[in-house]
Amino acid sequence: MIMAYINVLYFGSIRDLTLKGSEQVENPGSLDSLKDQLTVKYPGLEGMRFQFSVNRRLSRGNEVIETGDEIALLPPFAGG
Amino acid sequence: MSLEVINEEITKQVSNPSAGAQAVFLGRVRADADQGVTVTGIDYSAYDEMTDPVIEEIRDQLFREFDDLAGLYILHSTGLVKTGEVSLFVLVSTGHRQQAFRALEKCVELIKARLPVWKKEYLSDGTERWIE
Repeated sequence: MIMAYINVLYFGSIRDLTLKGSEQVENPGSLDSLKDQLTVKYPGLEGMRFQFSVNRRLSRGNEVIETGDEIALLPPFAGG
Repeated sequence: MSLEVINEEITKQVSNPSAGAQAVFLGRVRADADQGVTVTGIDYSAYDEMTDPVIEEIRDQLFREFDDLAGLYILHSTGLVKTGEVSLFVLVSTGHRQQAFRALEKCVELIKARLPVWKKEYLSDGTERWIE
């Protein structure tokens, strides 16, 4: 069976939680599924506020994820 | 970011023949103090591959909204910025002054709302904390 992977990137306080900037995970198919999967792996994620981006574009709710997609977990922005 | 970089860009824009007005914003790290503990610096991190498309969208939106806009320059520091130093530089050039102030304010607000940048404060007691 060929594994279908996606790249998941972590930023800000979430990066301190996961202790890594990015990792490859098996594509769970949707953002909601990814959130569930990551919350199991990193329980501290439960109370944290963040939004997803898909291929460098902010997500609009639960979206389908394709193999090779770049998904980022973005805490509230604090630039400027 | 150095004052040289800021001066260089202002000088470049002064030669823009359409610009009768320029407005500058400098965002700096404040020397905040709380019960004897002060901020020594802020570390800014960014989703580098996403900042460029977001800045392009901000530029497009501002040029659509402000018909007198002649030039726009945005520079955000990444890495450690010490107290007193500049973390954000925005320079707006317009034909006439009215839109300069408004475009500058709108630009700064859009950057704060949309730029994928995060900041971690370093304090004089050796601790650090994320600011959200």
